[in-house]
Amino acid sequence: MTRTIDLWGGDGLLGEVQERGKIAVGKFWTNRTVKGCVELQGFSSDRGYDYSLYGSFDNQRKVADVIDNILGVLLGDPKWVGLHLLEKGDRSLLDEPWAEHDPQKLRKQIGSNDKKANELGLELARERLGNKAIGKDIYVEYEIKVDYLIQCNNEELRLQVFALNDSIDETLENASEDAQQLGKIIGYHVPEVKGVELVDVADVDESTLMARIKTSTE
Amino acid sequence: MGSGKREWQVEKRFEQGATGYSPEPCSEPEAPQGLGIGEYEIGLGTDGFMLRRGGEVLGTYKEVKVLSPERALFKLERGMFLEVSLQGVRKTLSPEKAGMAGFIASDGSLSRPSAKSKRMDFYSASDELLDKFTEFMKEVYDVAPRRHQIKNREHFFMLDKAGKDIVEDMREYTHKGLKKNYWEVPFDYLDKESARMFLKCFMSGDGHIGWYPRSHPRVKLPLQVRFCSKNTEGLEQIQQLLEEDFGISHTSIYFGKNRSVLEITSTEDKVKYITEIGSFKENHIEVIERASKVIREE
Repeated sequence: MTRTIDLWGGDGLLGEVQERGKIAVGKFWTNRTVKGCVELQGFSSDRGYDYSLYGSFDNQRKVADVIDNILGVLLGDPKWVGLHLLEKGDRSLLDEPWAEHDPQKLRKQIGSNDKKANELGLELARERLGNKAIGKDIYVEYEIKVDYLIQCNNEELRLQVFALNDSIDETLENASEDAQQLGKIIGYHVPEVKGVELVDVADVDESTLMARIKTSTE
Repeated sequence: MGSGKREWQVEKRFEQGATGYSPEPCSEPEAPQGLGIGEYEIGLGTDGFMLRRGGEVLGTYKEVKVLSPERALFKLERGMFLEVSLQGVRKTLSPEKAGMAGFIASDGSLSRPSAKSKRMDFYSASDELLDKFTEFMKEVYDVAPRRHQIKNREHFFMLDKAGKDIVEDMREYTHKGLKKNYWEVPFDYLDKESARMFLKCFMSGDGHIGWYPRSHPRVKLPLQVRFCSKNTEGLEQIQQLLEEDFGISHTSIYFGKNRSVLEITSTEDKVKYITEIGSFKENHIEVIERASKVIREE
């Protein structure tokens, strides 16, 4: 079972994280541990998105290097740094069916998910609202994820960016720019949207409503 | 989090006038004398302004601001005011101290690295926020925090055990009795001005004001106004503060992958937020200016 250890949550200097990582590995790495993964969660207030950055290692001694790599380029304000210790059979946080990086294909896949999420979301919102939806413009809002695999200093990093779909074009542009600051983008992953759940409907103005949905993927 | 309903908390705080205060003097007096607010009377004495009730002197202060015939603020130490109004007497945070609380709730922490030391951190990649935090810190505590640069563009403010009493003072209003990294809105100590500053500083650190015309062409004002935090109860309190003090009621909280998000949903309330509260963050200010221009041209 994967064990997660908090290394930093806004308490103390970020420069102490490497030392904390070494201590945590020394204390919690057991003979059942097969892999370690460092995760940094941050918020780019300029871009308006939360992100997670992952780097993994299979040798305890490499924890400090991976942390150094992850903290090397900060995309915004860091919020949390954690260490995941994986045992045999645990799902690695960097393993996904990565597609070779192609910005056009990535955009197309996200666009196709967006179309489906919008259709399903609108259907659910109209169903729930009944007559109240008549004459109203409804737009659908949900959290999108942009997921990149990046080659950085001979290591692989995973960058996940979470933003609202109503900033989809700007987010794709900004996330790609940020990912390139970290290294070379070598892969992307966009799971297909399979279903949606209606969470909430809110007023935007007299003639517009916003339907918040949650998407589920394969 | 919090301790009971807001109405009860406010009532409890307003009753404190009866216990009396003995604050230190602050600066030269400059307010009129002989003013009555409810059962309280403000008069000029030889050592400063006296606050009396039923002939009993509750305290003497060097500085008082009379904001209306029904409300006055006596300046206390360390960024506090004694508010006298028709509801009674209570202590409130100055806007600067409320701003510090907002900054710490968003991008900072009050921690205890060891049994003997306590620390206040504020970390940000934005120089304008670091400068604002320093300005407030000097105003409230007359202390300039140390600045640390980490990695390429990360900055930290850190106060260690030398500032132990400062950390304890700040904890009293936002972190008391809460688990690590949790904070609460200091409702009991906020008037409208300090509430505005708390929100403005929280927004600067952990909020987003964005303008997305390309992705959102159907909406006249493609504006996002959001607060984010891992502390969902804290966001619920911000939601309550927005509604009670500013009438911003069209909001909703959703759970993102990493954190909870409080979003202002209606156009009218977004406009109210950007015009009445705002942010200190440069790129938020740019968006506010752009949105304001569109609003003016409508």
